[in-house]
Amino acid sequence: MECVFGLVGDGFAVLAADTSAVNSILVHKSNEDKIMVLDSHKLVAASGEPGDRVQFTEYVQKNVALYQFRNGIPLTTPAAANFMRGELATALRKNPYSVNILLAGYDKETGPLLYFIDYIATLHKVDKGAFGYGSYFSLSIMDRLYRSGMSLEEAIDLVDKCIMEIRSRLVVAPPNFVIKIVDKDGAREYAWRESLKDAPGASA
Amino acid sequence: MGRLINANDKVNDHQANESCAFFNLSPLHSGLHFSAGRSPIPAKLDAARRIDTPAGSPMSIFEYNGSALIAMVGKNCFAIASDRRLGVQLQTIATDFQKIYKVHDKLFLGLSGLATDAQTLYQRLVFRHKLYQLREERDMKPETFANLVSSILYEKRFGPYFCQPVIAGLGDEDKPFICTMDSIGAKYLAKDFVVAGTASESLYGACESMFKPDMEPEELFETISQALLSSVDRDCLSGWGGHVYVVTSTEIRERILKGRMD
Repeated sequence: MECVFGLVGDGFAVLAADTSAVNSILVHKSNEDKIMVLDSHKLVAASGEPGDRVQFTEYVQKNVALYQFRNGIPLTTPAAANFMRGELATALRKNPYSVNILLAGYDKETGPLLYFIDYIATLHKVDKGAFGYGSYFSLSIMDRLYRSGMSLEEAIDLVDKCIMEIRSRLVVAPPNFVIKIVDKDGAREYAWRESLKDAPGASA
Repeated sequence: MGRLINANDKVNDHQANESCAFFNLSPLHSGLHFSAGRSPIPAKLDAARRIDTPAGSPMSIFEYNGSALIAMVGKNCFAIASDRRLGVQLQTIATDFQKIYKVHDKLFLGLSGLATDAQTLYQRLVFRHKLYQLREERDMKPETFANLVSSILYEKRFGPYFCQPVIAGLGDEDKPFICTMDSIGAKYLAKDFVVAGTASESLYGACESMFKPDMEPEELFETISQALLSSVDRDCLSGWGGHVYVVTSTEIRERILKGRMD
């Protein structure tokens, strides 16, 4: 049910994720942020078991920060991706994390990068990626409409088309999405796409 | 060996321990009996290595990502080729996934099967080879490397890497060497060609009919490419182009093939 997808554009990478926290048939909240800011120029969109998702991404975030403290320079995006893969691979045959990850980062030397990391620690650098039931729709839309080197407006338009498709075609489509981008100016939240706002609390 | 005890079997511990003892296996080390309930591989990959697909019918763990690999021997040269698909069961994730790695200028390793294990195995093997290079101050011979791969795979006999390697190299006096092995390191040396992956049955047929001994590099390239493309066209889990390396004692030629992109 969790929909996470992302793509690389001209000098930036964008990630979009649904914002529903679900347990069986109950929606706990519809503004759960699943895209974590790993460091100044990296974003991690994670989908999977909620506990594993939060634990694993926080663990990686703190280790990435530790590296920067110890060595004075931040990890590159490929290094962070390989670190994540290594942690998932080590845990795989002991105590596996059920988390699928899309890592988007911007390095000064190489530009924007997007990494696809499966829950069984398959790592691959991609231009566009998606996880979850939403991937059946968003990957096809992106296959048709994606070009390399898209501008920010074009990329956000493509993201919106994917969100529209998921909303209209997925049976239990999540109502709200968050979009975050990373470029030379850093990782930041770009927009929310809400079709269902939380009901205001009843007044006493 | 003890009977395959499925983690989902409603066999009680006592019974399972008895059968393990009967076959002189200690329950802790039988490896196939997960008494603590926590299996070493996620539940989806467990259960006799069958995984459920969205379509319903279970697939083998070896078919999770999809792959096709061939290595062929020519006249003082060899060629190694792979498909380029990375999939997750029936969904294609990428069409530029690398399955053939260069260990050194005269030794190539192709890894088919589960992509995560292929990546882990490749990292371990490159590490071992680099150590060897530092200690011995020379590159590993293909025969030696094949033995190394075999023993690393057998180390994990009761919790294996789900990979089938294809090793191709030029040995002493630049004599071509190819071999493949199963996921627990049983080596199969061949003089003509070796294949691995989800398309292996088609690959065997194609190679058997197209192969001739002592082909020159150009003809070898044509032969291996045609064998690869025609075989992956019959396999839904591999394809999306091809990646061919033709290696002689003086040069390595890497070529990308465009086949049916489906």
